[in-house]
Amino acid sequence: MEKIIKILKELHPEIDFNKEEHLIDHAKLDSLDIVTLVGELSDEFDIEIPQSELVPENFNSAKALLAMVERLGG
Amino acid sequence: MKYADEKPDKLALVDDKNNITYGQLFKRATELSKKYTTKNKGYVVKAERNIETIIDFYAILLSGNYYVPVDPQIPREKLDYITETIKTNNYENTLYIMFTSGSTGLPKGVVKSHENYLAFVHNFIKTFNLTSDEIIANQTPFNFDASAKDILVSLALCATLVIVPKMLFMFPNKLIGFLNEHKVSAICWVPSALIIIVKLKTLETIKPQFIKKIFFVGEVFPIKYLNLLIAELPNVDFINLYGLTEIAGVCLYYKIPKNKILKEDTALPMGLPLLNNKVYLDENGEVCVESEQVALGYTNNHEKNKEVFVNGMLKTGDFARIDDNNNFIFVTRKDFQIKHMGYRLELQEIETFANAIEYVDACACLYDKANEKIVLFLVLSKSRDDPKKEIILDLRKKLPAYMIPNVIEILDTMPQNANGKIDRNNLQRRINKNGKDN
Repeated sequence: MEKIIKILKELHPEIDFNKEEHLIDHAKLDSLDIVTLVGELSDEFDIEIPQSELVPENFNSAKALLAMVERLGG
Repeated sequence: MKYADEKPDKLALVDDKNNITYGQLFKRATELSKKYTTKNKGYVVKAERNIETIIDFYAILLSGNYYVPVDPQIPREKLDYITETIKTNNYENTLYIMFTSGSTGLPKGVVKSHENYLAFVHNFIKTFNLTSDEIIANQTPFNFDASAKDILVSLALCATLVIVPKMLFMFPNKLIGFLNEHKVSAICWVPSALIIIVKLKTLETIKPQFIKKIFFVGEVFPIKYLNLLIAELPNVDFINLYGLTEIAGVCLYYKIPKNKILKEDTALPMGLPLLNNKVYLDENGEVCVESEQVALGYTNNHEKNKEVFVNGMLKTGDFARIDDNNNFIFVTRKDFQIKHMGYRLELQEIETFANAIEYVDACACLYDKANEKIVLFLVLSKSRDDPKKEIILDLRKKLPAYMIPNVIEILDTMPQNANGKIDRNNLQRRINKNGKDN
């Protein structure tokens, strides 16, 4: 979880990622953030994120991102 | 809009929640237009990307007035400034006024007339053989000038305009599904929106089935990504458009030849003049345009008017050369403006507001072109708990989201050159070096 928070903080130092659960629904992240996140998460956890996982639900919170990473074997 | 009579059941507008026909659009806009009892007056519209906004634009026009689209999240001060400024608009036959970022921190209002857009729509539709069968998907926010092309071309054609929900641009697989669901045939987007599709390799899984034309506008499309996109969609026409807020629509276009692999280390041509546009280089190499599409002028900046609109001729501020095939090739931009995420903005404006923050001692805003990031260097006058966060929150009150710096670097001192000015070259080298390390 710490690693994910760290990656997110790099993108948006002003957001409290421990609490925020609507990163997508409340438009806290933009499309460039998503591209960066996909790249960073793939590198950091040595996983490949398939198209089927690129859905809003997986990006709404640090927790959801962690669940996705774990699901993909990271 | 004659189509309301001829084809009342034709689908006019679609958004993620609703859709309406031309008949309904005309009826609802006529009803709403009664609310506007003045003539030749500007009405500010907080332009959410939905059907209601377009009904409102249309109602304002039907009533004999003109619209002024603004960011729905516009800061209060900026809204007040715009509301006051449009009262001084003396131009006749105004269609809409679009405000763009200005170097003093005050936005400039560009006035477009009905004639400007009639000319553009005619020239554009003829050049690209567009018909009422088009289904056009809109990506650009309505407070950005590029969106006027989508809206007005679609309505003029009696075609269908599909307003794509912003969230889908973060998830290109869903985005392509949405385009297919609505049978979208043409798009005119900023390259950033298309590059994401390439970067996330979406087209390996799902392809747009109905798209015939992909226009892009607003920034330079990096050729390495464009080549990948073309390779995935060999049957689609790709067209690079060049325009600026000071003209209705666009004045140059470059249709990428089929079966041609573009060289990665070259710039994509701006291309050839659009029908009925006289485009040429002046003695300094600045691109100049003469056509009925050239906007009437700025509402609020007489100095700039004289500089930019010279006897109806537009000096674009872009410098170019012309290649052997008569294509215009971009060389550089005159002033300090940059293109970021498809938006034109002035770094100076960000500095103006950053400098205004109480605990900021000095600042310099630069652009990391390779990584498409706005970088703000700061020296603080007093220590803060979490300066990066505070700066961003403070800038948010003044600036739209796309102008918020992506990277903030706190320095102990600002590097200076021999003249005692901020050494921007030094800072730019730092950016380039960091960029490479990544």
